[in-house]
Amino acid sequence: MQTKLTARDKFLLYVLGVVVVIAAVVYFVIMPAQAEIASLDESIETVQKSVDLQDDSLAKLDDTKMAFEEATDSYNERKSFFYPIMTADEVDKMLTTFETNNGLTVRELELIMPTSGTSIKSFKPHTSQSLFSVQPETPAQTESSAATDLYAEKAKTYAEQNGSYLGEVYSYILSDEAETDKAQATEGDSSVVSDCVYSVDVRMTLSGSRADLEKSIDLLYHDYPAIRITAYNWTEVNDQRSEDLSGNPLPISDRGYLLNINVRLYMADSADKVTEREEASVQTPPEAE
Amino acid sequence: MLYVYLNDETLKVVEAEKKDRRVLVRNSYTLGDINKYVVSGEIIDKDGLSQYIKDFWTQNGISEKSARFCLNSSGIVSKIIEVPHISKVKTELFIKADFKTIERIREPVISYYTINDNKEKNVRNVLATVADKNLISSFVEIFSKAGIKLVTFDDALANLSAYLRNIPELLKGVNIVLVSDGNLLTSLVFTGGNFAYSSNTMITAERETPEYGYQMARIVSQLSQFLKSSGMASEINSVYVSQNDDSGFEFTDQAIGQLDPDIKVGKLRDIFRAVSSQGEEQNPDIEGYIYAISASASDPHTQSLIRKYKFDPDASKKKGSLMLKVLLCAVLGFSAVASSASVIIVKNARQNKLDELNARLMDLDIARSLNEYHTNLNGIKSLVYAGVDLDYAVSCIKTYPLADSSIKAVVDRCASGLCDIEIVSYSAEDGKLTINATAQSEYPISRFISNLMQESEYFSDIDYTGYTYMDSTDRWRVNVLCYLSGDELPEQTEQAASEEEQEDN
Repeated sequence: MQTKLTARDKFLLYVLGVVVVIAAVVYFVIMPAQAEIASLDESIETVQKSVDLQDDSLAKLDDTKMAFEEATDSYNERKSFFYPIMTADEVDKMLTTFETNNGLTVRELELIMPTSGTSIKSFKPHTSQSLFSVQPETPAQTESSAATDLYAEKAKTYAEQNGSYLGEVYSYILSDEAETDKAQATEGDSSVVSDCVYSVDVRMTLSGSRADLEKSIDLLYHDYPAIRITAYNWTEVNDQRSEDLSGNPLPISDRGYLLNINVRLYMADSADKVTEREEASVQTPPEAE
Repeated sequence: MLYVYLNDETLKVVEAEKKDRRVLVRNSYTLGDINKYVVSGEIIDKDGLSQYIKDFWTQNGISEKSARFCLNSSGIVSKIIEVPHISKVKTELFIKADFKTIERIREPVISYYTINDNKEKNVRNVLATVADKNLISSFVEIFSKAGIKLVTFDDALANLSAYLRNIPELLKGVNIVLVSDGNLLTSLVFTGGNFAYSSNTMITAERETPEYGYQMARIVSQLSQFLKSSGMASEINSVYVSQNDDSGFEFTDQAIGQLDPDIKVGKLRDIFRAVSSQGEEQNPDIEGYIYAISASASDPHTQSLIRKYKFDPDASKKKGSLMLKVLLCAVLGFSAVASSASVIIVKNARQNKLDELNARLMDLDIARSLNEYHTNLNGIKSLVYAGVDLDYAVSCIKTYPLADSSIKAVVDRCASGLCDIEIVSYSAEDGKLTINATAQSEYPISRFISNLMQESEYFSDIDYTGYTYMDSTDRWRVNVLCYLSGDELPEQTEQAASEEEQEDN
C-alpha cells in the first residue's frame, strides 16, 4: 500500500525531523555535558576554596615565622623565672653547695623528682575566724588577669605593627585562654596541672646557728624565687653552744639548731621542648596516645 | 556515450562516440515489448519498465551509466514557431502562448533552438519542444532506478532535424528526408539547409514491395503540392529515404522518378554522418537507429529539456525551497555541532582547570610550605599556652607568703618588752607560723596576742590554745598560730589606702 504525502505532511515531517535532531543533540550531548560541567563547577569551587586557603596561608607564612620567633622570645622571657630541667644530681649539688656556702651542714637531703607536670595552685589565706570581713581579690586572679592583659596588649601591638593576622592569632588564643582563666577563677582554690612546669620536692635537715639558718631561709626566699619553702621547723640542739663561757644562756640566734626544711624547686621546659611536644601530639595518632 | 531512443514499441540504444562531426557507432541494441509499459505515450508501469531496462543493461553487459535520451511520443511535441527578437524569458512566454496543446499540459517544460533568423522581418524561426514535467521526471526516475543517468531529454523529431541540418547534402535547395520508424513515416523538409516542415504518415504497405514505394511517392507528391501552395518551395531537389534494403529502395526510387524525374532519390545512410566501428568507410545499418543516433545532436547545455526541466521556475522554486531546507538544516546542524562543541570545549576547559587546581593542591613545594605554616601556627599556639602557664605558675608561686626574717621582725616587735618568742615551725600551704611565747605573767602574753592581731597586714588569722604555767621556769607559756597573709597584701593594702586618701582629698 502506498501513501501519498501531502505538502503539509512533508512540512510536518520536516519540522518533526528537525525537532528530533535538536532534541537528540540536546538530550544526548548537551545535557550530559552540562551535567558534567555543573559537577565539575562544584568540584572546582570546592578545590578553589582549598587553593584560596592555601594561598592565604602561604601569604601569611612569613608572618607566622616572625610570630613564631616572637612567641619563642616571649616564652623564653617568662621561662627565665624558672630553672631549666635538671637531674636529681644537679639539684642536690646546687642546694648542698648553697647551704654549705652559708656555713651550714646538710645532715640529710631527700629528693622527689617529678614524673609529670606539677600541680600549681595559688595561696589562699586562712580565714577560719573571719578576722577580716572583706577578702581582697586573690593574687592569683590578679596575676592571671595581668598575664592575660599582657598578651592582649601584645596582640594589639602585633595587630598595629604587622597587620591584623598576628593580632588575630593572639586574640584567638587569648580569648580561649581568658575563658580558662575565668574558669580557674570561679573554681577558687582548685589546682591547675601545668604541662611545662615541673617541681622537685626536697627535704633537708640543716644544722648550724639559728642566725645562719634564718639567713639561709631569707636568701632562699629572696635570691631564689624559683625555690619556695613549703615548710620548716626548728629543733634546738642541746650542746655547749646554748651557754656562753660564763654559763649564761646564749641568745637564741647564737644557739645551735637543726632546721628541717622542705623546699620546692620549679623547673620549666625549653621552648624547643614545648614545640616538639606539640608537634608530637599533632603527629601521633590518637590510638598511639 | 549511450544514445537512447524510445517510442511506444521499442527502446533502441546506440553505444557510440561523437568524432569530427560524425558518430562512430560501436554497438546498437533494440529492446522490444515496450508497449507493456508505455501505451500511447502514457507510462503505465514505471517500476516494471525500470526493471526491464535494468535487466537489459545487465544482460548486454553495458557499462555506460549515462545516456542522451530522445522520445517519440504523443506526450512530447515539437513545432516551428516564428518569434520576434525578444528576451529569452519573453521568448519562452511567447512559445507557451503559441502552443495550443499547452492547455492540456499541466506543467509544461519548453526548449527551443533557432532554425533561422530573418533580420528583414526582425523575426526568427525556432523549433520549440514542449513536454509535461511529470513525463520528464517519470523517465528520469525510471532510468535512475535502472542505474542510468539521463544527461539530455528531447523530442526525437527535434533531435533529428537538428542533426540533419548540419549535413552538407541538405544545405542547398529543397530536400526531403523520409524516416520510417515501424509503420510511422516521418517526413522532414529542409529548405536551404533549414528545417522547414515535418509530418507523420502511417505506412500500411509491406516493405520491399512496389506498394511501399508508391506510398512513399504519394507522400512526396503531397509534400510537393503543400510546399508549392504554401509558397515555401516550387520544386523538390532531392529525397533521402531511410531504407537500407536495395530492392525496397529500387521501388521507391522508381515510384518517385515516375512522379518527377528531376527529383534525386538517395539513401539517407549515404549522407548520414554515422559510421560503424567496423570501419569508417563502411556505413552502418542505421535505419533502425536514426533517432537514437540523432540524440547526439542534442546539446545538454543549450537545447535539452533536461536543462529546462531543471531551470523550470517551479523547479527553481522547489529547488529554492530545498535549498532553504538544506540551508536551515545546515544552520541547525551547525548550531547543534557548534553548541555541542562549545559545551564540550567548556567541559574540557573546566576539566583542565580542575586538573590544574588539583595539581596545585598536590604540589610538593607548596605542601612543604603549608606544613611549615601549620607547624609555625601550632608552635605559636603551644608557646603562647605554655607562656600563659608559666605566668600563671609564677603568679601562684608569688602569692605564697614569705616566712622570713621580716615576719620574725614583726613578731619580735609585737612581743617587744612583753615576752620571749621563738618561731617553732612554718607551713606554706596555709601560711601557718607556729610561735612559742613565754612571759612572766599571763597579761603580757595577752598583750602580745593583741599586738599580733593588730598586724592584720601580715596575718590573716591568729589562733592560740590558752596559757600554760610552767613550774620549771616559773613562766607562762602559750603556743600562738599566726596565719600569714599573701605576699602582695601589704602593697595592695597600701595602694588601697593611698587611693582612699586620694578620694578623701
